[in-house]
Amino acid sequence: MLHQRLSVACSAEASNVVLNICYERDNVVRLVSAGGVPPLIAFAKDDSHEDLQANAAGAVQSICFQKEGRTFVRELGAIEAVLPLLG
Amino acid sequence: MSDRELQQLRELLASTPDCAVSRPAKLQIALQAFVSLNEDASRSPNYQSQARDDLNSVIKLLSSDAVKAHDQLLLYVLKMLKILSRKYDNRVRLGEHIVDDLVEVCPDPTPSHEPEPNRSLDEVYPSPNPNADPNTDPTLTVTRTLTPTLTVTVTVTPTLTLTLTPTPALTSTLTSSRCCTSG
Repeated sequence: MLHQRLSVACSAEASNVVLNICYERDNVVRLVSAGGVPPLIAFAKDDSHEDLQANAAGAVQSICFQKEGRTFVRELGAIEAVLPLLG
Repeated sequence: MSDRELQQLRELLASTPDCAVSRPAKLQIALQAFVSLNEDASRSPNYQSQARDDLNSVIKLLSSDAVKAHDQLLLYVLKMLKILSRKYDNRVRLGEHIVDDLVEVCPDPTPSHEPEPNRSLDEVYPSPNPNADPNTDPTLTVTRTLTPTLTVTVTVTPTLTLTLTPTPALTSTLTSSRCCTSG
């Protein structure tokens, strides 16, 4: 249980790092190429860990500041994933 | 180098390169010192400093298998990266090095639809399982250990027969060894 909680904390913190580095276009391109976007969208859908969900949604927002990121995120179905968070 | 804490971390890694394994508590204290001083961006000496940060230490830590296997260390390394990546110059330099490791420590929780490797087949099949980690996979270790000294015969009949025949050398080893269990 402790391990699981810490792993969630690590994923949440990793999402924060992604949020920051993806202010730069080159890093968005790198993240997309490395397969780093699908986990973030999955975290954003998961309402069992609020911090992780919020941080992941922030990272997705950061990715979407760049055109390449926006296109990729939309194609992965992220709009449907985050819409429930508004309600 | 803008922070005394970054300097201390660099010195620790220089004097004890394997500190994530040999001195994890000391490493964690060094990481915590930097994080506690800088986590609040409005009070962060690192964020306010214009000096160029030495990022090599933290990049090495994130790529370390020992750190990835230690949740508390990994958590503090990630917090440190979050703090450092508030600055433009650091974002640019870090991005070149950490994206792959970030993706690795942030695995997709969505269940994979790829088939699981067939472990029982791997035990009798001599070719290595491409999905197995040769450093940690016990199945592969057992297979490698037994292959040179064990003959495996598989007979396909209405009821599958599997015969394992140890060579004399292995038989001798097995009969002279004591078997330990956790009981």
